[in-house]
Amino acid sequence: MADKLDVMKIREDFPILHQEVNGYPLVYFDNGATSQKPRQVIEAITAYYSGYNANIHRGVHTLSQRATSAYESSREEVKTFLNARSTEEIIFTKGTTEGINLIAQTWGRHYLKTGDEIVVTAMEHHANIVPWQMICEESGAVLKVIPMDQNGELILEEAQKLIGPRTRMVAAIHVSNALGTINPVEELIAMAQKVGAMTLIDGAQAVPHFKVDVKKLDCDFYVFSAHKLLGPTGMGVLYGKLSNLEQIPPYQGGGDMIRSVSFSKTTYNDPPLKFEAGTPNIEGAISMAEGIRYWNSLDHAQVAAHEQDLLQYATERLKATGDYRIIGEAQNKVAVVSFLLNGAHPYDVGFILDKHGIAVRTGHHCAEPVMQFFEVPGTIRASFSFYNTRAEIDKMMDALAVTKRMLA
Amino acid sequence: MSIAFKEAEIIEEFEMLDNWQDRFQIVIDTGETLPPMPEERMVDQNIIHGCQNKVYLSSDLNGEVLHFYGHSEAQIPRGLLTLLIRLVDGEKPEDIVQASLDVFEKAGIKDNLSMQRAVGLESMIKRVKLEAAKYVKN
Repeated sequence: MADKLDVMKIREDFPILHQEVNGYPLVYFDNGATSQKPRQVIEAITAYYSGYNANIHRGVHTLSQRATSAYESSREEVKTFLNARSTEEIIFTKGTTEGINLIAQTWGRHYLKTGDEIVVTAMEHHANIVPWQMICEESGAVLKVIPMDQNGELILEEAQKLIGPRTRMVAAIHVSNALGTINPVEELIAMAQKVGAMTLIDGAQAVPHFKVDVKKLDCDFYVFSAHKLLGPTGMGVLYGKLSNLEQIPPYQGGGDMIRSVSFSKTTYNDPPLKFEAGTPNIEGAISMAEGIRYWNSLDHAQVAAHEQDLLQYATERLKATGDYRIIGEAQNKVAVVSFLLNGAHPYDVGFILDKHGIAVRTGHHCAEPVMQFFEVPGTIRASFSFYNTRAEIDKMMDALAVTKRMLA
Repeated sequence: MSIAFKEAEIIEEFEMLDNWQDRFQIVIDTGETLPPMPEERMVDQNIIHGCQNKVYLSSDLNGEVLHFYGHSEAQIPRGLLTLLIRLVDGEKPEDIVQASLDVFEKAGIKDNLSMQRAVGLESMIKRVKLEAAKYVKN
């Protein structure tokens, strides 16, 4: 068996973790919202701005070439990370949300007709609902929803019934941000392929926890955000099969996405630049790649074992007293536990936990339909990263005991 | 009892407590004393926007003075709302409009709120003033 993950050594790489909040050592359990950044990522941003900040692509001077080369090698890093076929398949975006909007607004606007169907799941983040609703309204297409059960698992028999000849797109969340469920996206993709529908997978909560291989998944599009994977905010990735990217029209117009411009006719660049109008988030791409390199440096079997141990430990401790209701008990989960303290509003619990230096997320987690399904106003979500510890979970449980007394 | 008098009372109640836990215990316990809001008043137009959970407020003019009704699912906002209502309930609209209603700063409660909660509290105060302003002739 592999050695255990050296969490204490890893924590040394994350400067933000070593501080007090409200007089207590910070316990950061809001990794589902954004992960903390290792110093390597922070240093990459500083190195860029203090060493080779310049606009990329058309510059002949040395700094511009250094910046261009770093920017484009980030694409190479992402390509390898996702196991894409080529860097042409890697489009840089602002984040997951923009990736989904890009496909809805380009592919969707171009191809969707009245009566066409878009299939999503009952546990989507708003980012994978609203862009489709917007394009449905415009095109006359219809949104269909694959239901889930009380454990927070998709009902695949229902998916089978919903995905049919009218389906043009199956857009599914890989890992639920609100529940932690790892969805069987392979099966959804296979169902979509059978009827000739496109597939888009929202991997925002998946890539921080396990290896994703887009070639193996064989999805048409895969999106994620850098900031949940040790990288900067305002940066993300849209993977698309090159054959698709060549066919769909560009997203925004501007610099970099063109081949030539005249007042009578403009021709567009090839993917990925076709979809990257304007000066991009250069330091974002560079530091995102640094975050991926950091992630690659970890032993992923050890990370998985450690995160599953945290999930199991937190689940056991919450279940031990009977005071908590866990929302989402799928068989396959990442290290996320969504729960309620019986009789207490999640906001009150979040407030008192914060007073104890514990950062959790409270509310609907941008997944209101999930809350409606479970008939709760929101949940308290503790989402763990590889740098979290059992001792931190103990602190949360102690603070929850105080919370329970205060709100009783 | 004037607003100023009730404010002084609340400040005194909180002043003797030197930690956030005791202060918020009082806030939470105070919330338990808020009379239930009649169902027909829990409508969208009585929702205070800017709060993270659903907080309702409405008022009636009773002779010369205002009577307030409120509701919040979460206990801490309910406690804050109850303190605020205690301050302005039974007071004349013009007195409410003119009052500073900064008891939460003075009682050391606001310092302990997160940014978003503080915004929620400000929204409650603003709403109380708007309710009162409805009855003040220019």
